[in-house]
Amino acid sequence: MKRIGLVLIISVLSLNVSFSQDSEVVKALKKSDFYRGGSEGIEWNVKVQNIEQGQLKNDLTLSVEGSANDSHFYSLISFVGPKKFEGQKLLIRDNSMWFIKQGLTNPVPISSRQRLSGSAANADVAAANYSKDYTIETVTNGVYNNVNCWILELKAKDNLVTYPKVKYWISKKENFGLQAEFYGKSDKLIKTATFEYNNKVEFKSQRYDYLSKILITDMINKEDKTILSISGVSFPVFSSTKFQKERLLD
Amino acid sequence: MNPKSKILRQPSKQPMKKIIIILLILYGQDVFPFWKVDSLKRKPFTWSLQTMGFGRAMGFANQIGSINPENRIAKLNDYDGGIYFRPEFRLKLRTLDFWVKPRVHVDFPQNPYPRGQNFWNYRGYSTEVFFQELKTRWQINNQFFVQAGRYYKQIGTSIFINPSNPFIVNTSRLNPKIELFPMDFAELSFSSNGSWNYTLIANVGAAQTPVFKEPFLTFERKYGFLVEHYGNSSNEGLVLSADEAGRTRLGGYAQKNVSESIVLWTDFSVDYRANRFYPVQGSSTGLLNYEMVNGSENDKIFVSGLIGASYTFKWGPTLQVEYYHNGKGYNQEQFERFSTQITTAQNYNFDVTRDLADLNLGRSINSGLPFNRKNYVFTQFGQNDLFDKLNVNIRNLYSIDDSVNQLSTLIEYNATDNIEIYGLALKSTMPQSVDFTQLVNYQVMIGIISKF
Repeated sequence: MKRIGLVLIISVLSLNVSFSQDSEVVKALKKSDFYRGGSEGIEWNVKVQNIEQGQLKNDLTLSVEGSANDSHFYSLISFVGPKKFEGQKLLIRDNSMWFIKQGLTNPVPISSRQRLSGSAANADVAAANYSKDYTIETVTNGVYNNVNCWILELKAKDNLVTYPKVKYWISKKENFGLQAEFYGKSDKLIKTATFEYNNKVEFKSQRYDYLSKILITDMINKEDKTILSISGVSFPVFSSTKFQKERLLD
Repeated sequence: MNPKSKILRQPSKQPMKKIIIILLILYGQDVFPFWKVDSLKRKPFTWSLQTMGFGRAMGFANQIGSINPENRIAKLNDYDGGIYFRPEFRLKLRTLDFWVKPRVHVDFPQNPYPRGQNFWNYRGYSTEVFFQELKTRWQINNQFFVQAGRYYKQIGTSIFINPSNPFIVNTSRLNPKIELFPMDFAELSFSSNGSWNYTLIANVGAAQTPVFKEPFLTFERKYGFLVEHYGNSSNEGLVLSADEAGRTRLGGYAQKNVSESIVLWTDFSVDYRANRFYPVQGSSTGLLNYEMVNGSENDKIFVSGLIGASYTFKWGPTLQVEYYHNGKGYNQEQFERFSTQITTAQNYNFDVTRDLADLNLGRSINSGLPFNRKNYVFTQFGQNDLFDKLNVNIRNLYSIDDSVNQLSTLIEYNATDNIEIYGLALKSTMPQSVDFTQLVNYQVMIGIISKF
C-alpha cells in the first residue's frame, strides 16, 4: 500500500500540467525569453570561450544588437575580437540569415546549419526565441538546484530552427530559464545549457536580474564546452532600418 | 581583369617612406605597445588598419592575334607585388555616421630589381592613393535615413554575380583580395515597419571605375527605386532604374531558406537598351573591317537571370551552385565577329589603323559585360574556421557555350590573431577558339595581411 502511495505521488508530481495559450506557463516562457534577450531593442557584449577536450580553443568577443517580440526576431552579431575575425558579421532575421567577412562584396545568404559551423556556433543558444519558434508540447513540475520549476517540452514550429526539440526548465518564481536540453531530429540529446542571472539591468524604470552566463555542454563530446559571458546590457531603441542586409556593409 | 594604368615614379631619395611602411607593418603585429581601444566599450570613434603585402605571378593572353597583343592593351605584369594600406575610420554620433576608408597602394611592377640593385636602392614603384569609401548617413528618424558618398552599393542576393544591381557593372571578381571599384551615390531610404523598405538611389558618379573612362563607355547618371521585403524565411526585392540616356531596367531578387541546410535564391534583370560594346562589321572610319560599338543593336530588351542554391553538409562545408544566363552576352554570330575582330587586329600595322585596332581590343576587354557569353555555371565549395585557423574556398566558373573552365582556390591561414597568410591559385582552360573570353590564363598570389 505504501508502495502504491509512493507511485501515486510520483505520478501526480510528473503529471502534465494542463495549460492554454494564455496560461501562466506561456507567460513564463515569454518572460524567460525577455531575461535572455527577448526585447524590442537590446544590445550586449558576449564573450565566447570554446573549450575542447578541457583546453581553451578560442576566445571570441561579439557585439550583439537585437530586437524580438511575438512576431519577429532580429539579431545583428558583429565579431569584435580577436582581430582575425574582424569584419565578420551575421544578420539574423527570423529564419533568414546573412553572413559577411572581409573579402566578400555582398552578404551571403546562409542556412542555420552553416551558421553553426562557425566559431560562434553556440551563440545561438543565447539568442534563441523559444516563445516564437516553438510550441509547448508538455509541461511537468520539477526541481532544478532546489528551485521549483516548470519543465517544458518545446517542439519547433518548422524545420528551419536548429533544434527540433528543446526541454526547458523555467523557475516558477522569477521565470528564469535555468536549464535547457537541445535534441536533434532523431531525438538524440545534442547539448545542454545552464543559465545564470547575475547582471543587474533597468528596463522601463524597473530593475531586473538579467542573463550573465551560459554554460553549454556538448553531449556527444562531453569535454567540449562553451561559456558565454554577457556584459554591457542596454535597451536602445533601434530604427526600422537597423536590421537590413546593407547594415552588414557598415 | 581590368587593366589599370599606373604612373611609375622615380623619386630621388625616399628612405623615410620605406621606413614608415615597415613601421606600419610592425605596428600591426603589436611589436610596439601603442594604445589600443577597449573593444568592449562602445566608442563614437573607431578605427582599424590592415596592411597587405603580396607577390603575384600571372599568365595572360599576350601573343599576336590575341585580345592583348604584346601586352599593349591590358599592360599586365608577369610578376608583381604590392603593399596595400587599408585604414578604416568610423565616427558614430547620435544620428550621424561617417565612414572614411582611404587606400594607399604601393605597387612594385614587373622586373623590380634591375641588375646590380636591390630593394633598398630601387626606386621604381607606383603609388596610388584613393578612397574606397567616403560615406555619411543621417538617420532622420526611426524610419527615414539619407546616405551619400563614395561606396560600393550592394543590391541582390547571389554570390557569383548580381544582375539585379543596375549600378555596378561587374559585381564578380577574379581575386577576392582585390577590392571592387566604388561609385558615387546618394540615397533616401524609408522603412515602414522593418519588413518593407523603399529606397530612392541616385548614382551620380563613376569614380575610378575603368569601364567608364575614356575611350570606353560614357557614364550616365542613373536613378533607381528599390523596394525590398523581408519575410520570415525569405527576402525579395525589385529595383526599377533609368539612366539619363533613357536606358531602363527592372531588376529583382529573392531568396528562401527552405530547410536548416538549404537556401535557394534567384537574381535577374530585364534591360531595355544596354550599355555595352559589341562587334560590327565595317567601321565608322572605313579603315577597319570590324569595330566595337555601342549602337543600335543595344536598343532592345535583354533578359538575364540567375538561380542558385546552397547546401551545408553535416560535417561543416557548404556547397553553392549558381546557373547564370547572360542575356547581354554575345550570341554565336556576334561572338564570331568578336573573334575575327580580335584575330585580324594584327593586320593593321600603320600608326592610325593600329591605334584604332588597339582601341577596339581595349573595348573588347572593357566591353561593359562582366562575361561575354550566354551561359555560365558557378560552383563554390568552402569552409571557414577549420582547426580554428584555416579558411578554404574552392571556386569553379564554367562557360557552357565554350566549355571553358576557370578553377580557383583561396586558402587563408590565421597564423596569429593579427596575421593572416594567404595563397590564391587560379587556372583557366583556354582552348584556342575561345582565347579571348578570359584574359587571365593563370594567377598565383601569396600574401600576408596584418590587422590592427
